[in-house]
Amino acid sequence: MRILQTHKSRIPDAPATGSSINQVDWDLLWERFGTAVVTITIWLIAGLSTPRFANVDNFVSVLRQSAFVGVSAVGMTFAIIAGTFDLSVGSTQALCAWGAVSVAKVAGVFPAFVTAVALGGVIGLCNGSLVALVRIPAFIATLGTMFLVNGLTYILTNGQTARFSGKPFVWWGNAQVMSLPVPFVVFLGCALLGAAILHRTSFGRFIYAIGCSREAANVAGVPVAKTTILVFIVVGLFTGLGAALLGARLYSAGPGLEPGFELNVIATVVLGGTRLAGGRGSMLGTVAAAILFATLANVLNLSHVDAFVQRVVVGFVLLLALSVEGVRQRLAEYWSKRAARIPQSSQPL
Amino acid sequence: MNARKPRRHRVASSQVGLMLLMVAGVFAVLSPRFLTPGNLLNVCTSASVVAIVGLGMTLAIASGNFDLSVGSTAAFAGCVTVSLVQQIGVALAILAGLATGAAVGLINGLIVTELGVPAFIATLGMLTIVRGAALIYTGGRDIYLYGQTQYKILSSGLTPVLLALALAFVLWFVLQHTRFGRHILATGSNAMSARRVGVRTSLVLLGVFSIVGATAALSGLILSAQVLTGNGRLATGLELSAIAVVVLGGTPLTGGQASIAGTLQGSVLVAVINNGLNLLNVSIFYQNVTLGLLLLGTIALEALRTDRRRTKQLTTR
Amino acid sequence: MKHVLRTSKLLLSVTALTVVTVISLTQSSVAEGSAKKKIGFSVYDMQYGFFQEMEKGTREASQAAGYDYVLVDQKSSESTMVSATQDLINQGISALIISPFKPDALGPIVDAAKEKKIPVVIDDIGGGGTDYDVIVISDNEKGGVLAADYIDSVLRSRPNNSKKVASITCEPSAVYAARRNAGFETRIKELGYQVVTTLSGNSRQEEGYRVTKDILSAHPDVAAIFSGNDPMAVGAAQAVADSGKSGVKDVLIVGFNADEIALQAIKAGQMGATVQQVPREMGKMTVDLATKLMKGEKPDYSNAANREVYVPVNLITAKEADALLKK
Repeated sequence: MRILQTHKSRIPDAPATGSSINQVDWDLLWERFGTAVVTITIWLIAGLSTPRFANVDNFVSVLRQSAFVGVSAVGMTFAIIAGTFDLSVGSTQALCAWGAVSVAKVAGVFPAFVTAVALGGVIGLCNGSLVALVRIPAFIATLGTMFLVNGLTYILTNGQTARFSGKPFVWWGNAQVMSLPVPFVVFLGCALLGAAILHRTSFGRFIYAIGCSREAANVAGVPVAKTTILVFIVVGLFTGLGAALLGARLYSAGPGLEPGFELNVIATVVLGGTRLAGGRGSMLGTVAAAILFATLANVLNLSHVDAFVQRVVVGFVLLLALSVEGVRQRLAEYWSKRAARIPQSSQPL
Repeated sequence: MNARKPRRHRVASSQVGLMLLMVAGVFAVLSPRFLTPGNLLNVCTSASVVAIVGLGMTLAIASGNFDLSVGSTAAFAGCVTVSLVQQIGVALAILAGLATGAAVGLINGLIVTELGVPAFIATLGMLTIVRGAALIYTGGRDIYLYGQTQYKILSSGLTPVLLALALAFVLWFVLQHTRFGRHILATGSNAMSARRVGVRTSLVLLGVFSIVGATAALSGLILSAQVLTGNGRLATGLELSAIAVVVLGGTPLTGGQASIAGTLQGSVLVAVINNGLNLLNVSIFYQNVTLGLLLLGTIALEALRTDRRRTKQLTTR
Repeated sequence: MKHVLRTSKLLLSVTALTVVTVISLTQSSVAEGSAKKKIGFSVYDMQYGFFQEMEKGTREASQAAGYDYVLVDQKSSESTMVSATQDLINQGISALIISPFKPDALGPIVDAAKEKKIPVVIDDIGGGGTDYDVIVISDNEKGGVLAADYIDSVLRSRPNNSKKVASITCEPSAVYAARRNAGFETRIKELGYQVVTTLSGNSRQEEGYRVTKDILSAHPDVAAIFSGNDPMAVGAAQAVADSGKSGVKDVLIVGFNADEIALQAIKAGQMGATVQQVPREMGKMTVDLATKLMKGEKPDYSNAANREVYVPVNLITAKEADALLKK
């Protein structure tokens, strides 16, 4: 999808030759670890300036909060690396969470999670088929299912929220194991699983290949349609799992669960260094970015920042983190120009 | 795309006109009040609000970009104008609102072109920033203008419809008959080659984003004139409606093509559906389902049609 | 290259871990400090005038009573409601006041507060069937009934009065606000009117405007419109005015909340009345209740079984609006 590319996407780097062996590729470093560095910096600043930040309870709640967007973001990382994305995760989340809570009430925890994940998978299958078989651009297809699933959830639930506070179920959203919150443990598990799939299986390599160039992947014999459908199913499965965790966290779920969830998830993945244009990205970044967003919201609350100002700060951090690379490149260009003192006219693009 | 010999008729097409006739026909049969002049004006007015920002969005999408911040921009511009009406008069206040929108658009453009942030994310960040700015500007309060009936000029009678049509004509003219328009399409179809043939894509995009900002502002102004109030909550979610009508209108997300007429029809279609379902007293639950089905249906039809055309070409070749 | 990456990865994670551990060790020992009691308020959404008033009342009362006061905003999201309120609890508050965006999701909050022995006072909306200590609630259903009675009393005196009324609801997920419309519709039907349509304006002014235009198209003879909140009522009044009618004499508009915009609209003769809630008063009441609970006293419930304290709702017409605006 062209609209997802940066305005001046760089010509892909030439393969590193001997001369650059001692040179550090700052862009690559930033892409991999930038978010982690920013997160740690924010932790440092917050820890020193807000007395309530650095205590165990608070870390637990930050990590727990990062999981609900995070689990879905693990799936979304697959989609974005494959060069597409899914706008329907917000609606899917509401439907799956509602499904999980309602089923937990009558049938227990395991069926509840299975229901949520299965519902997510089915919606993912629909999205994938629309994109890969009917060939509707992912943006439109998932925008359509977003409206559709949202409306369906309202009709199914009649606008009512399902509520269930059975101990075994809410354990999944609220308890801790080894002083780590359960949802966060699940999130880490998902991220590890995701990383393993991306880097150790042929499916993972296909995803990177499709993200780099769909045509090239096709010519090279990658089953593009099949892989695309699978990618959307993966997004749905993870979103379903995250939704069940959120339902357990809230003891309840209903339509209109989290407005703007899809945009948060996409922002998390992109903040984690995954390129919207596809082909590049990693799970480590997604995990770091999910924690970063949760930390930011927490720190802003702890330092009593006005809710209106909070909106500005969050947007600003997002833009700042994502423009670092552009700014660095600009500066590098400028310096190299000055150093070389070559007239600008015949510069290749 | 050759800059000297432009292909004038590179216009996207879609099934939206057909769909519109069908849906309108159904409602005309089901509800006797649908075809009354008053109701049609009502439909056209609510279509215009979305159409105006949709037209700006059409330009953005044709240039290969996106603007998710339009709802927040509309709110901010509405607040600015409403707060200024009593001090500097209606005309100047409207100009100030439009300028605010254009300025927000310009910032979007600068973030995209100068900092290299993808438009989707840049405008997503701006969505929350500008919404926050609007809320801070008003202190979260409502600014009301009861008694200031002059400001109503923006929303009363045929004004919104005429504004939308005029804007559509202007943008159509720009796209079809000016160098700027050709450069927009060139940038949208392939920014790299556009740059190589001498199009200053950065400037083009700055222009496009400013226009989108201004159109969003105009929508926001009409909304605020309708309710004679400005507040930071105005036009929440407008971005998705705007994108939906552009997509329904058949402008492809791949950039390089634009269908102004399609966007107009798309916004009328959405307005007709919302109005018709309201007339029939159908629960709001079903409105989103219908919109989703429609979006998928229209685009699927379109996709299947081009697919068939493509296979035909392949076999005849 | 790979080595550089790997080493830096290791280094980074090790530094991060050390730093975090050191900080948490040093800070957690310092944390508990000031003897002043702290009231935490978790507000529904500060974008709305109603909750700004409520926040003001709570803040002023807390400060007057000599408490520290901390605020978080749920920003109309269930998930944020739970996480932000958790942030409050983690700050070592002595009492929690919350106007919940979604009462159904209060469970984890109340459980977390109970674990730390923090009393929970709920301000309006609903208690979600949880184990809260007390809820201050204005009677939404009763407010709807008041509106219906008022509309009937006005319309009855009119010649050739139409018996058609319409009802505009908040966003579909706001189940508790929906009770206003339910109360209104039940009562007005009892009084012999026909509710020709119930549509949602998503709590928003511009949608109240659009929906009302549709109502006027479908039912030109509608005699009154009840709206579940004031922003939508104001939008409805503008739509009626734009159709060349009066929001008082032709299509009687009645809203809910008594927000300042609505009072101004009533004063300007654009809508008929609104049902008043007293958010600022309610804020003050919650602080008083919190004080009692912290001392271990029992609050005076209006309904002890559900631990409810009722706040009266009043009808505000042109007369009262003027007086309220002067305040």
